Amino acid sequence: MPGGIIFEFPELFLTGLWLTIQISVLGLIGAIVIGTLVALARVSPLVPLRWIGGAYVEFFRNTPLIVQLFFWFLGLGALGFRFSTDTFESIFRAAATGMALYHGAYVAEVVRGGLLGVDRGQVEAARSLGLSYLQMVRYVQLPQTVRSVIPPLGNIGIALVKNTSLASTIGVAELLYAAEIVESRTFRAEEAFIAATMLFLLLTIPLGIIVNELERRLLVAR
Amino acid sequence: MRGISRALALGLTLAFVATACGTGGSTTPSPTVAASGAATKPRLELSTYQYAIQTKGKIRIGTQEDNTPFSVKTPATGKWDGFDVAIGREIAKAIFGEGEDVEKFIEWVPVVSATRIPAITDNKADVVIKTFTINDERKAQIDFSDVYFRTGQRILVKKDNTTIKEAADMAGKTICSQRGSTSEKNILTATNNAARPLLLDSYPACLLALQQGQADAVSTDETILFGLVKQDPNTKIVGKYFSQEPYGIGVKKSAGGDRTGFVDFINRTMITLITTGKWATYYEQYITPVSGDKKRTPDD
Amino acid sequence: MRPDTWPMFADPAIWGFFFEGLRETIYLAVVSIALSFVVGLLFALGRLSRKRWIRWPSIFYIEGVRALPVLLLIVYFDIKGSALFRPFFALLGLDFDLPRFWAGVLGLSMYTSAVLAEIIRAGIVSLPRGQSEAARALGLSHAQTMRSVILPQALRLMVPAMMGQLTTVIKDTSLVGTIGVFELLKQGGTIYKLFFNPFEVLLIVATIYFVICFALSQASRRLEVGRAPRETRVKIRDIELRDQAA
Repeated sequence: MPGGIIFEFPELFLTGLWLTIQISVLGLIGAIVIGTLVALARVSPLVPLRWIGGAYVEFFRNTPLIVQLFFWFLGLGALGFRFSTDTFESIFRAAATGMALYHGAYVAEVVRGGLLGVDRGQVEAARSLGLSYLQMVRYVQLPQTVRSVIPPLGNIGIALVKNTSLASTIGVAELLYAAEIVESRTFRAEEAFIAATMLFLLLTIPLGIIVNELERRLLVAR
Repeated sequence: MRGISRALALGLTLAFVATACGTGGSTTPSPTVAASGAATKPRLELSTYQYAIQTKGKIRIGTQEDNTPFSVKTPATGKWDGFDVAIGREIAKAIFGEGEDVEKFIEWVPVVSATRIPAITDNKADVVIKTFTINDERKAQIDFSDVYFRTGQRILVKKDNTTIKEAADMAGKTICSQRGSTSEKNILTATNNAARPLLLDSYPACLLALQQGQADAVSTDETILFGLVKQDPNTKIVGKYFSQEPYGIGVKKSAGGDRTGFVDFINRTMITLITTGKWATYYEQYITPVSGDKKRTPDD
Repeated sequence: MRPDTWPMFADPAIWGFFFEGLRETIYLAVVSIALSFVVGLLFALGRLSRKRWIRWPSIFYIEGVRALPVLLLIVYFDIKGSALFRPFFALLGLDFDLPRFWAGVLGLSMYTSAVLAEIIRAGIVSLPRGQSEAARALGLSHAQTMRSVILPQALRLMVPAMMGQLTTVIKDTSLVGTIGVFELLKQGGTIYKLFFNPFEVLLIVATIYFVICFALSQASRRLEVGRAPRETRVKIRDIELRDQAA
């Protein structure tokens, strides 16, 4: 039975699945928070903020994620900095942080597009009614942005789930790691990798279907 | 690490290899009693695999690129050196003769722990000589030569560490090892699953984790630990052997007679190396600088 | 931090070492993107086929591969690649072992081909129907229509997106280091494992990647040939977001 090897090594695969989910969720939440803040910086009237936001986006998008992960783990480790005194917690947090910062750059671009997409007339009307810049953002821009931004965020989420596999390189026992360990103990590569594949698909295919549906329904006519 | 000159910058690896082998280039120990004697190729039986290799003109030897002191490939020069590498060259000499530069008959196939068995079963390499521990699980997949080296698994900690002294002390601690090696499994067995293995891509990476305090210890075969101590003298090896690691040379199982006589041939070559003292010479050349002891045979 | 290792970076030999890795990176990327383009184009056309027996396997391949992490594909091809291709070479009486470079290329190409397939398909679909209708009315066969009318226009529209994929592939080559290919990141790893200065080396490696990818993304912005309809641009953006691997 394909994937039957999961029952021979239940802890490895289930721990792998659970860690994948945890890093994905934490990473996505972090990415959304960071990305939104950066996007706001990029559309703000303050030039230094715009520049910092732009630099952040360009740097984190044009650098490979695995390099960033090694940096948070071994690079900062060389400076004596760790995310936790417990190494396994530390690498987990390094992975989640790396995911959040990397994907945050993509979120920032999406949110920025959404913010800019809000009809200028609305922005001007709000300001002429006496709303401060921040109030305008909070009551006019953001709510409308949210709607147009959900499908692309869903897509970023799917990419995030797949990218958690990179955490295996810094020692996090997620799904790909589980497949590699099982293969090294049993030499049954196909079985181990088919099992990991199935578990990944279990996460990405339903997400894909949901996002496809969201894309269809929320197609924003501008 | 100081005084970087052009020669030394990348060649800290050269310095590495130099301390292990004394010259810094490829080494051809002076032949004492050559197995074949003549400058021509040795006569081999027609039906054997070694004859097939001789006819092909090339032997593919699988080994690891960064496994001091057993096999190291210097990035700057592309030259291979180390104990396993020297054994490999001896086997090649037994097939192609002592006379000429045996290097041109060898194709070095880089492998790591995860790929060393597939390298054999998929016929990427004729032999794999890579600190390969003989055990039953592996014997089901491939054939091994007789034991050519014995060591055991021990533990590497920082010099000022007093909490880890024996295998049992690893319980609850973060122990670094290489993904896909028997070492990581031995750690769990020795501590009844109470240790917490941090698995990275290589032992040098583990050494880095140890230095940064992200791992409490590194555990693997003692001979590999020797290489790490050499790299960072601020560490020490503790504990008795908590596993027996007899190393063998990996060879594909004969299917339909395609490896006839090969394992026997390798075993005979090894016996010759031991009885003529070459084994002891290589031990002294590569292992003694890091271990401080001398052995004349693998079973000392 | 290891300031005592900083003098090392004044030595051109170290940069030569980085450069060798960079060369391997570029080589990996170029070969992979070329292969991905060919395969991706085939699957894009396959998915648009009216014949169900072509369309369904194409959909299966594209959606299946896109749903997987590219690192998984790379590692799998490293472990099992030789065994996969051996039977074919055996027929020719030849031995076969898959060099790690090609295992990396296979993994990268397989993944990128699925992404490119979707991008190309979006480009084809974005063209006004009138184009193909007119071509057919003029007596051109389906294949001729594709080759002479549809594809040239579609591919030209897709140039920025494909350059974006090239940037992604260059970043993904850093993953191939995990199977032992000496690309830029692995070369950096060799250095910092020897000299214990990962902080400095990783910053340098990151900067090198940044310079290349940033330059490429700026160039692709200038290469926009014609403007695809908004719907298509949104679709492409969504594909890129979902499938950009690290």
